Amino acid sequence: MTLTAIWLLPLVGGILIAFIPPRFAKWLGVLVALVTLGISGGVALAFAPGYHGYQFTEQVPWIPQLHVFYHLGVDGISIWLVVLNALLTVIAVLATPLTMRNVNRFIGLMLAMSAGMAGVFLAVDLVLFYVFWEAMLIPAYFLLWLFGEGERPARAAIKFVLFTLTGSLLMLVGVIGEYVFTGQQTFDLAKLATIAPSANIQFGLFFVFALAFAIKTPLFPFHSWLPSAYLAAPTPMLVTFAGVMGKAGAYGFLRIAVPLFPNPVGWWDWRWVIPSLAVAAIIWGALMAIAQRDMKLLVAYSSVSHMGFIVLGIFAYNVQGQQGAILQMVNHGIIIPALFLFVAWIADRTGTRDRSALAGLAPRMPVMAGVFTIVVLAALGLPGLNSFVGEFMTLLGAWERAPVLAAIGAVGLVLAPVYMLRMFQGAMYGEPVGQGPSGDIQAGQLALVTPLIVLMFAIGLYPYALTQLMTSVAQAGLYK
Amino acid sequence: MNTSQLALLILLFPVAGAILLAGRGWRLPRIVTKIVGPGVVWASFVVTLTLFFNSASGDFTYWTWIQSGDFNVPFNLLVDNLSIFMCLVITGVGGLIVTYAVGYMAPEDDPSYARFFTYMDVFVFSMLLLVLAGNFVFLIVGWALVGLSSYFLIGFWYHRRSAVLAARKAFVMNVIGDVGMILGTFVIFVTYHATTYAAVFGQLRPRICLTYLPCPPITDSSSLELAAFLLLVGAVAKSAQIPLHTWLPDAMEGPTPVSALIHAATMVTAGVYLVGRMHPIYDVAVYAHGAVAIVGAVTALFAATIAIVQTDIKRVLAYSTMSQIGYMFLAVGVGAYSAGFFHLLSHAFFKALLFMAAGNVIHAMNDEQDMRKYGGLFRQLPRTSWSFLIGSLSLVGVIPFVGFFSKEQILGAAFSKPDDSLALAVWVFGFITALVTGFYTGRMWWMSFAGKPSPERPVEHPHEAPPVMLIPVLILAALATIGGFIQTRALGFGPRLVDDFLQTAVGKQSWEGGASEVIATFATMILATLLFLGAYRIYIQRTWKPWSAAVPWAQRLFERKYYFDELYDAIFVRTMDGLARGGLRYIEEPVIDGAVVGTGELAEAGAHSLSLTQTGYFRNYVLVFVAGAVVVAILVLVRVGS
Repeated sequence: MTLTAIWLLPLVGGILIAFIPPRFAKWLGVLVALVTLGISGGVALAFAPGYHGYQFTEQVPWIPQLHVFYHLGVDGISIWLVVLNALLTVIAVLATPLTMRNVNRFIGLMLAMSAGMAGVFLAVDLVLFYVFWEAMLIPAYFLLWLFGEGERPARAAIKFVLFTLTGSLLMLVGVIGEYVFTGQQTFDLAKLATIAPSANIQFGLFFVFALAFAIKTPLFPFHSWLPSAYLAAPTPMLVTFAGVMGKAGAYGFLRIAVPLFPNPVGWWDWRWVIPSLAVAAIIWGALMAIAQRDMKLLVAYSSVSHMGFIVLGIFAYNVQGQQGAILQMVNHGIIIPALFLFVAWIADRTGTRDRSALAGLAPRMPVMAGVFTIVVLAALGLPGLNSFVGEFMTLLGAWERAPVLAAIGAVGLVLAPVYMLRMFQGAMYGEPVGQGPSGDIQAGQLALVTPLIVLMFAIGLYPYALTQLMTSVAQAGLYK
Repeated sequence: MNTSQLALLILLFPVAGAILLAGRGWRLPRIVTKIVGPGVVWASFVVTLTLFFNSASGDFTYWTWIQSGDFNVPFNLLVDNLSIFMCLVITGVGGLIVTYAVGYMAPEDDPSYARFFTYMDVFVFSMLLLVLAGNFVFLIVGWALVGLSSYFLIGFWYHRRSAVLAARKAFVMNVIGDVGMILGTFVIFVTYHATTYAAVFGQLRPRICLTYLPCPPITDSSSLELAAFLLLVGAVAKSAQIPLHTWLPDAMEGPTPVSALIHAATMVTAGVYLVGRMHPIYDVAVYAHGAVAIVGAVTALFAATIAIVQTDIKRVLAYSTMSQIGYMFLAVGVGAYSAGFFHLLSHAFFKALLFMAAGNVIHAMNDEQDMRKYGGLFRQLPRTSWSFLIGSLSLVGVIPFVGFFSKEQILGAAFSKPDDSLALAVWVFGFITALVTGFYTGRMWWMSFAGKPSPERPVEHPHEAPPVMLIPVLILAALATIGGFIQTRALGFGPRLVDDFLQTAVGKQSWEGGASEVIATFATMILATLLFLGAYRIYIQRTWKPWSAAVPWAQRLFERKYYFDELYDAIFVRTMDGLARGGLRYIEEPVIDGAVVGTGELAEAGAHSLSLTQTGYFRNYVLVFVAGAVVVAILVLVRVGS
């Protein structure tokens, strides 16, 4: 029941909180999120490294006629994502301002979204995975629609739905196709990984799944929903929306597309198409980030670039690349919420997110500047901080498979400081202009990002703490 | 304490200092910053001395950093004579410079004052990590962190736009170098499945030829060449060698102690350390090794010619630094490793001396850096002037100053390989550079200190610097005067302490100075000295016409720094910005985003025209798009399934 609690608790809590008076909502939400984090952390502590297979499994027949099971489990691929989801949910709820209208509904939806994401990472049955996948999108859509900011949040929400629904339906086709074409009448992910369908079927099924995951990741050129959705999303939502849900697509690649279809070769070879698109995403995302003036959009595009590294690592088909990709999912989940939080806090104090309209903030908000520096350095992949490890490993994996792709991807490492420093220096340095900011970082806000900052250093200095629990598809051969 | 704990302690002192100053520094009394800032560097110096006198060595692993398949990286420190040598330079010369900064930075307000020493301590830590790291990954970590500290310190006065831009330029160019190092490490790992120096070089060792044994055939030299070239990219970027040199002159935007410590004495010499540390690779990868020498020789001459026309005293020193590091590259490029490291040590003495003495002058002149506005300082600032003269003569290579022995040993090593045409070619470059060095140094010295005070001089009666700024200068002046006697090999006789000390780390050096080398040595020195004196006639007495009257095009070329900045701006910066802006405007918005919006609008229009429904467009919008995609998917499946 442990794993069930990880998704059921926030779901039930979320529904409850949506209907209690707003003034209790935040603290009850924090309580629910903290208990979930406690359970998830306990699972990670009790997790046995080196065990090939799913742990803490729960299996109950669900639709016996179709061999669908309610089947949960964690392994070295999903364990840290479950913990990350729980941690970021706590931070997201804490970051929610009490003054927000309908704060109880907001927190309720946030917890429901968190429950869906936990389910995606926990599901070991393909149908169950699909159900959770859909379930996490519904609260996300309502959050964007009802609580979105900016000029036309509804439009961003529609765009988001348009893309994700397309992906979902493609995936549904894939799920059915997988059941039909393998002929083994099972949806068990571990079993499916051992019975690859024929090459042609693999080619087609890989296409539908990969398209679904490429949209969700997002992979170039399917990324256009991301900037508008991230722009519209309120910042507390972004903590989990960008921090965790952004990883669902990459997780899908790693959990389903790669192990279920090891040889998707037909008219062309998908094993080269996807990493090529990943490299394109690295470069294109970075270039688009360079062109942005709105810091929130800049960070959104930097996310496209960073996701490219993750997909590149997954499609290296080796241990280094895939462990690097998982590590980078966690790292990006730590860095991107911090970036969005800082951009929002700076905008709160100055009234603008335009990097070229800001200048000289550093002497007037020194603590904010100092802590933001660390986040920016982590984001641009400074060796010694967490992101470097993931980028190094994904590129190393890619280099072992295709040096040219890795070398082009490495250009992204040079572009990252260009856009990150333009943003940071633009806002913080130079002669102060206009009215000063209305204050430095508040103690509560500092407390909010402290765990993220600590993790940036900790993972940078001792990544082995995380990777020793990790298995990768390449390593495990997915539990034959 | 054992060696492994001491090695860790060397790193921990500056870290502790940085954490203390970053966290509480500006809330504590200033005296704390004054003590802690330099104090932790001196503490590391004392620990390094302990290792030195104990003849410590070893490879110590502290924890597993990462393990992924066969990719296994420990956090390990390598203590050998090379790393101890480098640590002595970093903490010794660094200690003097950070102490000097206590006085130099005194006008800053409290938060900035503490911030400065925080960055300096971070730098010292990073540099020590760079030289102590026992594997390629932590080498990269130290490598990048010194770049970061350099970025912070160049942009220290961040209200100046020029400083901010210079800092960013330095950072990005150094990241290019970092990427080279990262890719080089990939090649090494893929070839040898190891990341520690011990494991990698251990596999290379049988291939290093001993003089009395025939060389075994080398089977994988192409991957070694690739690795060596990629590592060279890192070395070139960090050491401001052609073609990744343009950041260093701009880096002079930082405070002068920063220029002395980072952009003269330590960080910019990291490339030399890298080639020396990787010598088992470069000994095999002959093409990359030759490239090191060529890059060094060309940069030495290139930078020296630009130094002739600079008017900002710090920029003269910056180009001079580039040029002198070119000598070091030249040395390690022709295999004279310990000669390169001796010049590294010697250059740390005299260039730190020159920068700090220049800093005293700049302070006395109310932050004016234009030499044309100095003049006649010799009588007014005697101690600083004498120190600057010692540094200058050392730079020119006049006996008995330290620069003579170190530079002439490099030239001698290149000259003594007549069967090696590359060595002879780079010797010619080195020889001409020595002459140009004599000239620009003379110009700098005479313009600043001799003659009558310039009418534009900002301060009529300047004051000599306070003791905290003067004593480190005088100590370095003393070292620059007598330091050469630890290794007088350039004369063909006498002690050779540096060579002997580094022999275990970089191998025995084969060069033995003969009579012809000694003659060449003195000829070089005498010609350079004559040019140093000749500058007096041109710039003070004005009895000789300036050289630029004869070749105005050359002066223009030097003044525009061979148009590298303009070229890079046109090729890289504008291209990148153009791609970014153009991509956003013509591809991202109309095509990638437009396709989606267009599909939606098409669906809507279709729905309207067919009068299927008039209720809210959202449903149709989604429905048509989704249905279309699903139909395509099913078609694909049916097609491949049949």
